[in-house]
Amino acid sequence: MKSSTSILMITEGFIIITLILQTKSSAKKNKKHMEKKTLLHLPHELIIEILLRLPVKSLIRFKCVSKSWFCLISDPHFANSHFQLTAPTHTHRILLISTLAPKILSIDLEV
Amino acid sequence: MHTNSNIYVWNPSTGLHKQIPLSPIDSRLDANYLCYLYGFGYDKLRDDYLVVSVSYDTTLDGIHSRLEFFSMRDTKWKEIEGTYFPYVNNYTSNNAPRIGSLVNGALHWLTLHEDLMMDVILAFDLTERKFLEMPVPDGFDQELEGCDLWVFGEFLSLWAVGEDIVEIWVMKEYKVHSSWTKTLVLSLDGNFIPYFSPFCTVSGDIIGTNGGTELVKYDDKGRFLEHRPYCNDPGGSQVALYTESLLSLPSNSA
Repeated sequence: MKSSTSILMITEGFIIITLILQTKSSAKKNKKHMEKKTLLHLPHELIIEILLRLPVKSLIRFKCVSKSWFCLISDPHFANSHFQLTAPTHTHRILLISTLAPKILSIDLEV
Repeated sequence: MHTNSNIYVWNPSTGLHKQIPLSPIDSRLDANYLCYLYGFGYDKLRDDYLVVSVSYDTTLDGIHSRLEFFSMRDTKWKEIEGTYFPYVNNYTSNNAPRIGSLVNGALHWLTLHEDLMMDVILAFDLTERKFLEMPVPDGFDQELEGCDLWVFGEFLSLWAVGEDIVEIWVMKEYKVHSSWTKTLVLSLDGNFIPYFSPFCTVSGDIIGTNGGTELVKYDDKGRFLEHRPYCNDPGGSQVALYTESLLSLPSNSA
């Protein structure tokens, strides 16, 4: 499961990104998936602008999309820009750290 | 997180973490330093994160405090020398160090001034890298069962548990003593909620724990909203609030 394809759909300011993981052999067989790849050809600058507006959790997940996304999302400058741009909508979670067992839970209280 | 003398700084969102090396004095064999105040904060001026630690040598009589901070950018500890330091942690049991509340670029602890035998707020300015002292609000009852500082929204605040109540004081203007106001008195229902220590606010609601085993929520008018158990262990577990981010530490190689 090495190669991956991303489909980007932009609707009303929401971005839905679907990942289709495929093996090399299935890539050959399945032309449909290959065709969808063309949708990725957004200008690099535009992709950065879109990603800068996404929640942290999604971005962590999108590190797996490609090496270039991994590098982009791991970049401290990207992290800083993202932190500043999303400042009005920063999300918070509560950590629960058990003192006995090495167990750490977190919950989202905004929902 | 602070366990014995191992300190780690961790971003729960990215999973990146870094262990802070022991302070050079910690590796001395002829002394045994115990940390009683600590904290973590950001120095805007230098774009640096600091871990602050106040400890004392348990092999000596009396408290001879050692004040130091670790700069993530310089990756080294620095000792603050020549400061008269009569402050002790009089509250937390089992020698647990007290964690500083980060407000206005400074860490704050509720401490006892040993010479005056009075509670005072001790602050460490992360940019100036200096300690300073602030009085607790007038009319603040020091005889209450449990009290500490926390951050109410963006303000420095004090909570204190009395009989069936929790008082919440807020410093509405930073460093302005007269701006301290007793903002709320939460009522405890001994059967359901025997204890309450707030630790964060989310969309105006006050979230705290009931002895570390339940999360308890009050609204901004001090009305009880709900409580949810989260820990089966009667000893309770620690709670903390974090802001989700991709931020990493300076020169992070983790």
